Amino acid sequence: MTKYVSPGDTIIGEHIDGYTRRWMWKGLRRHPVLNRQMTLYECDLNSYAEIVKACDESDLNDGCEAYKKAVGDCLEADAISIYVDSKRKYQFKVEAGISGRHKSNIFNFRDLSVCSIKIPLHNLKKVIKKLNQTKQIEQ
Amino acid sequence: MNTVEIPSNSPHMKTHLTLSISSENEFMDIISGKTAEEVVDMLFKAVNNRTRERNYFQLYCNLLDGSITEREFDETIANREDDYIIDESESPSVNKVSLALSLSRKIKDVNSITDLSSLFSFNPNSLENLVLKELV
Repeated sequence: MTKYVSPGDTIIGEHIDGYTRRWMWKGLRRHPVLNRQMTLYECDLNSYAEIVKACDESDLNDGCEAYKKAVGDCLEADAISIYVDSKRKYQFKVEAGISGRHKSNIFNFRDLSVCSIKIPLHNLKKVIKKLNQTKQIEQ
Repeated sequence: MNTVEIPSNSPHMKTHLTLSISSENEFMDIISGKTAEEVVDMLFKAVNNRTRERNYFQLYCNLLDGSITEREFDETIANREDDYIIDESESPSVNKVSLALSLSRKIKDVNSITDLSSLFSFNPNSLENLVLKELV
Protein backbone atom coordinates (compact mmCIF):
# COMPACT_ATOMS: atom_id res chain seq x y z
CA MET A 1 0.00 0.00 0.00
CA THR A 2 2.36 2.67 -1.26
CA LYS A 3 1.78 6.00 -2.90
CA TYR A 4 3.95 6.64 -5.98
CA VAL A 5 4.53 10.16 -7.22
CA SER A 6 7.61 9.99 -9.52
CA PRO A 7 7.45 10.27 -13.31
CA GLY A 8 7.52 6.85 -14.96
CA ASP A 9 6.03 5.00 -11.96
CA THR A 10 3.51 2.41 -13.15
CA ILE A 11 0.81 0.33 -11.49
CA ILE A 12 -1.08 -2.63 -12.95
CA GLY A 13 -4.28 -4.12 -11.59
CA GLU A 14 -7.40 -6.06 -12.52
CA HIS A 15 -9.59 -3.29 -11.06
CA ILE A 16 -8.41 0.29 -10.78
CA ASP A 17 -10.33 3.23 -9.29
CA GLY A 18 -9.44 6.89 -9.27
CA TYR A 19 -10.27 10.38 -10.34
CA THR A 20 -9.00 13.22 -12.48
CA ARG A 21 -10.08 16.74 -13.33
CA ARG A 22 -9.59 16.39 -17.08
CA TRP A 23 -9.43 13.30 -19.27
CA MET A 24 -9.29 12.32 -22.92
CA TRP A 25 -10.26 9.10 -24.65
CA LYS A 26 -7.47 8.44 -27.17
CA GLY A 27 -8.62 5.24 -28.89
CA LEU A 28 -7.21 1.75 -29.31
CA ARG A 29 -3.52 0.97 -28.94
CA ARG A 30 -1.45 -2.20 -28.83
CA HIS A 31 0.26 -2.01 -25.44
CA PRO A 32 4.02 -2.29 -26.05
CA VAL A 33 4.71 -4.50 -23.01
CA LEU A 34 1.53 -6.53 -22.52
CA ASN A 35 1.03 -6.84 -26.31
CA ARG A 36 -2.76 -6.52 -25.97
CA GLN A 37 -5.34 -4.33 -27.67
CA MET A 38 -6.13 -1.70 -25.04
CA THR A 39 -7.98 1.62 -24.88
CA LEU A 40 -5.86 4.59 -23.90
CA TYR A 41 -7.08 7.41 -21.66
CA GLU A 42 -5.01 10.44 -20.76
CA CYS A 43 -5.75 12.12 -17.45
CA ASP A 44 -4.58 15.62 -16.73
CA LEU A 45 -4.71 17.83 -13.64
CA ASN A 46 -4.84 16.37 -10.15
CA SER A 47 -5.10 12.68 -11.08
CA TYR A 48 -5.22 9.68 -8.76
CA ALA A 49 -5.38 5.94 -9.46
CA GLU A 50 -5.41 3.03 -7.00
CA ILE A 51 -5.38 -0.75 -7.40
CA VAL A 52 -8.50 -2.22 -5.81
CA LYS A 53 -8.04 -5.77 -7.13
CA ALA A 54 -4.67 -7.26 -7.96
CA CYS A 55 -4.08 -8.82 -11.37
CA ASP A 56 -3.32 -12.45 -12.07
CA GLU A 57 0.34 -13.47 -12.51
CA SER A 58 -0.63 -14.99 -15.87
CA ASP A 59 -1.52 -11.49 -17.17
CA LEU A 60 2.06 -10.30 -16.75
CA ASN A 61 4.76 -10.41 -19.42
CA ASP A 62 8.50 -9.82 -19.52
CA GLY A 63 8.96 -6.11 -18.93
CA CYS A 64 6.32 -5.87 -16.17
CA GLU A 65 8.88 -6.43 -13.38
CA ALA A 66 8.99 -2.75 -12.40
CA TYR A 67 5.19 -2.42 -12.31
CA LYS A 68 3.60 -2.12 -8.85
CA LYS A 69 0.96 -4.78 -8.37
CA ALA A 70 -0.19 -4.78 -4.73
CA VAL A 71 -3.72 -3.86 -3.72
CA GLY A 72 -3.70 -0.30 -2.35
CA ASP A 73 -0.71 0.84 -4.40
CA CYS A 74 -1.60 4.18 -5.92
CA LEU A 75 -0.35 6.92 -8.22
CA GLU A 76 -0.83 10.59 -7.48
CA ALA A 77 0.27 13.12 -10.09
CA ASP A 78 -0.96 15.83 -12.41
CA ALA A 79 -0.88 13.73 -15.56
CA ILE A 80 -1.26 9.97 -15.88
CA SER A 81 -1.93 7.67 -18.83
CA ILE A 82 -4.19 4.64 -18.45
CA TYR A 83 -4.38 1.63 -20.77
CA VAL A 84 -7.53 -0.46 -20.20
CA ASP A 85 -8.01 -3.94 -21.66
CA SER A 86 -11.36 -3.11 -23.25
CA LYS A 87 -12.41 -2.00 -26.73
CA ARG A 88 -15.30 0.04 -25.36
CA LYS A 89 -15.29 3.40 -23.65
CA TYR A 90 -15.77 3.53 -19.89
CA GLN A 91 -18.07 6.10 -18.28
CA PHE A 92 -16.51 8.77 -16.08
CA LYS A 93 -18.84 10.05 -13.34
CA VAL A 94 -18.64 13.72 -12.42
CA GLU A 95 -18.64 14.40 -8.68
CA ALA A 96 -17.99 17.49 -6.61
CA GLY A 97 -15.81 17.86 -3.54
CA ILE A 98 -13.03 15.41 -4.41
CA SER A 99 -10.36 17.57 -5.99
CA GLY A 100 -10.47 20.64 -3.78
CA ARG A 101 -13.28 22.94 -4.86
CA HIS A 102 -13.32 21.53 -8.37
CA LYS A 103 -15.49 18.83 -9.85
CA SER A 104 -13.74 15.56 -10.54
CA ASN A 105 -14.25 12.77 -13.01
CA ILE A 106 -14.38 9.42 -11.23
CA PHE A 107 -13.38 6.23 -13.02
CA ASN A 108 -13.78 2.58 -12.01
CA PHE A 109 -12.00 0.36 -14.51
CA ARG A 110 -13.05 -3.28 -14.19
CA ASP A 111 -10.67 -4.71 -16.80
CA LEU A 112 -6.91 -5.17 -16.61
CA SER A 113 -5.45 -1.64 -16.50
CA VAL A 114 -1.97 -0.14 -16.57
CA CYS A 115 -1.47 3.41 -15.24
CA SER A 116 1.75 5.45 -15.52
CA ILE A 117 2.79 8.88 -14.37
CA LYS A 118 3.54 10.85 -17.50
CA ILE A 119 6.66 12.81 -18.27
CA PRO A 120 6.08 16.25 -19.85
CA LEU A 121 6.92 16.59 -23.56
CA HIS A 122 8.99 19.64 -22.66
CA ASN A 123 11.41 17.37 -20.74
CA LEU A 124 11.90 15.17 -23.81
CA LYS A 125 12.61 18.26 -25.95
CA LYS A 126 15.15 19.43 -23.37
CA VAL A 127 16.92 16.05 -23.28
CA ILE A 128 17.09 15.79 -27.10
CA LYS A 129 18.45 19.33 -27.33
CA LYS A 130 21.09 18.49 -24.71
CA LEU A 131 22.08 15.26 -26.49
CA ASN A 132 22.40 17.07 -29.82
CA GLN A 133 24.58 19.77 -28.24
CA THR A 134 26.82 17.18 -26.56
CA LYS A 135 27.25 15.40 -29.89
CA GLN A 136 28.32 18.64 -31.59
CA ILE A 137 30.81 19.52 -28.84
CA GLU A 138 32.38 16.06 -29.00
CA GLN A 139 33.13 16.45 -32.71
CA MET B 1 28.29 27.56 -40.03
CA ASN B 2 30.71 30.36 -41.02
CA THR B 3 30.64 32.46 -44.19
CA VAL B 4 33.85 34.10 -45.35
CA GLU B 5 34.01 36.78 -48.05
CA ILE B 6 36.86 36.18 -50.48
CA PRO B 7 38.12 39.22 -52.47
CA SER B 8 38.03 38.69 -56.24
CA ASN B 9 39.66 40.54 -59.14
CA SER B 10 36.43 42.03 -60.48
CA PRO B 11 34.97 44.86 -58.34
CA HIS B 12 31.40 43.67 -59.14
CA MET B 13 31.88 40.08 -58.04
CA LYS B 14 32.13 38.68 -54.58
CA THR B 15 32.83 35.08 -53.75
CA HIS B 16 31.49 33.57 -50.55
CA LEU B 17 32.94 30.42 -49.09
CA THR B 18 30.77 28.57 -46.62
CA LEU B 19 32.36 26.32 -44.06
CA SER B 20 30.03 23.99 -42.23
CA ILE B 21 30.52 21.23 -39.70
CA SER B 22 27.98 18.42 -39.46
CA SER B 23 27.68 15.78 -36.79
CA GLU B 24 28.21 12.09 -37.68
CA ASN B 25 26.74 11.32 -41.12
CA GLU B 26 24.19 14.10 -40.95
CA PHE B 27 25.56 15.95 -43.98
CA MET B 28 25.88 12.81 -46.11
CA ASP B 29 22.38 11.73 -45.05
CA ILE B 30 20.97 15.08 -46.19
CA ILE B 31 22.70 15.22 -49.59
CA SER B 32 22.09 11.54 -50.34
CA GLY B 33 18.37 12.04 -49.62
CA LYS B 34 18.28 9.57 -46.72
CA THR B 35 16.91 12.17 -44.30
CA ALA B 36 14.23 13.27 -46.79
CA GLU B 37 13.21 9.64 -47.25
CA GLU B 38 12.97 9.16 -43.48
CA VAL B 39 10.88 12.32 -43.11
CA VAL B 40 8.47 11.14 -45.81
CA ASP B 41 8.17 7.70 -44.16
CA MET B 42 7.46 9.29 -40.79
CA LEU B 43 4.82 11.60 -42.23
CA PHE B 44 3.12 8.66 -43.97
CA LYS B 45 3.13 6.79 -40.67
CA ALA B 46 1.64 9.81 -38.88
CA VAL B 47 -1.17 10.15 -41.43
CA ASN B 48 -1.91 6.42 -41.26
CA ASN B 49 -1.99 6.43 -37.46
CA ARG B 50 -4.42 9.37 -37.42
CA THR B 51 -6.53 7.42 -39.95
CA ARG B 52 -6.52 4.39 -37.64
CA GLU B 53 -7.80 6.60 -34.79
CA ARG B 54 -10.51 8.04 -37.06
CA ASN B 55 -11.54 4.54 -38.21
CA TYR B 56 -11.92 3.37 -34.61
CA PHE B 57 -14.03 6.38 -33.61
CA GLN B 58 -16.19 5.99 -36.74
CA LEU B 59 -16.74 2.31 -35.93
CA TYR B 60 -17.62 3.20 -32.33
CA CYS B 61 -20.16 5.78 -33.56
CA ASN B 62 -21.69 3.09 -35.75
CA LEU B 63 -21.98 0.85 -32.67
CA LEU B 64 -23.61 3.64 -30.63
CA ASP B 65 -26.21 4.51 -33.28
CA GLY B 66 -27.06 0.85 -33.80
CA SER B 67 -25.72 0.54 -37.37
CA ILE B 68 -23.64 -2.45 -36.27
CA THR B 69 -24.03 -4.96 -33.44
CA GLU B 70 -21.62 -5.54 -30.57
CA ARG B 71 -20.52 -8.75 -32.26
CA GLU B 72 -19.86 -7.02 -35.60
CA PHE B 73 -17.87 -4.34 -33.77
CA ASP B 74 -15.61 -6.94 -32.11
CA GLU B 75 -15.25 -9.00 -35.29
CA THR B 76 -14.35 -5.98 -37.44
CA ILE B 77 -11.56 -4.98 -35.07
CA ALA B 78 -10.31 -8.55 -34.72
CA ASN B 79 -10.27 -9.16 -38.49
CA ARG B 80 -8.82 -5.80 -39.55
CA GLU B 81 -6.58 -4.95 -36.64
CA ASP B 82 -4.21 -2.89 -38.80
CA ASP B 83 -7.06 -0.49 -39.71
CA TYR B 84 -8.06 0.27 -36.12
CA ILE B 85 -5.18 -0.27 -33.71
CA ILE B 86 -2.05 1.83 -33.40
CA ASP B 87 1.10 -0.14 -32.79
CA GLU B 88 3.54 1.45 -30.35
CA SER B 89 6.48 -0.91 -30.51
CA GLU B 90 9.32 0.97 -32.21
CA SER B 91 12.31 1.99 -30.09
CA PRO B 92 13.57 5.03 -31.99
CA SER B 93 17.10 6.43 -32.20
CA VAL B 94 17.87 9.87 -30.76
CA ASN B 95 18.08 11.27 -34.33
CA LYS B 96 14.64 9.93 -35.16
CA VAL B 97 13.12 11.39 -31.99
CA SER B 98 14.76 14.71 -32.83
CA LEU B 99 13.25 14.56 -36.32
CA ALA B 100 9.83 13.62 -34.91
CA LEU B 101 9.93 16.57 -32.50
CA SER B 102 10.74 18.94 -35.38
CA LEU B 103 7.88 17.54 -37.47
CA SER B 104 5.43 17.60 -34.56
CA ARG B 105 5.74 21.40 -34.31
CA LYS B 106 3.62 21.63 -37.45
CA ILE B 107 1.17 18.85 -36.54
CA LYS B 108 -1.96 19.52 -34.50
CA ASP B 109 -2.57 18.16 -31.01
CA VAL B 110 0.84 16.81 -30.09
CA ASN B 111 0.97 17.90 -26.46
CA SER B 112 2.50 14.93 -24.67
CA ILE B 113 4.94 12.06 -25.06
CA THR B 114 1.93 9.75 -25.48
CA ASP B 115 0.70 11.87 -28.41
CA LEU B 116 4.15 11.80 -30.01
CA SER B 117 4.54 8.05 -29.59
CA SER B 118 1.02 7.36 -30.92
CA LEU B 119 1.66 9.53 -33.95
CA PHE B 120 4.96 7.95 -34.98
CA SER B 121 4.43 4.44 -33.49
CA PHE B 122 7.19 4.94 -30.92
CA ASN B 123 7.26 2.92 -27.73
CA PRO B 124 6.36 5.51 -25.03
CA ASN B 125 8.42 3.59 -22.46
CA SER B 126 11.59 3.95 -24.51
CA LEU B 127 11.04 7.73 -24.80
CA GLU B 128 10.38 8.01 -21.06
CA ASN B 129 13.43 5.90 -20.23
CA LEU B 130 15.54 8.20 -22.41
CA VAL B 131 14.32 11.22 -20.42
CA LEU B 132 14.71 9.54 -17.04
CA LYS B 133 18.25 8.34 -17.88
CA GLU B 134 19.40 11.81 -18.94
CA LEU B 135 17.65 13.86 -16.26
CA VAL B 136 18.78 11.75 -13.28
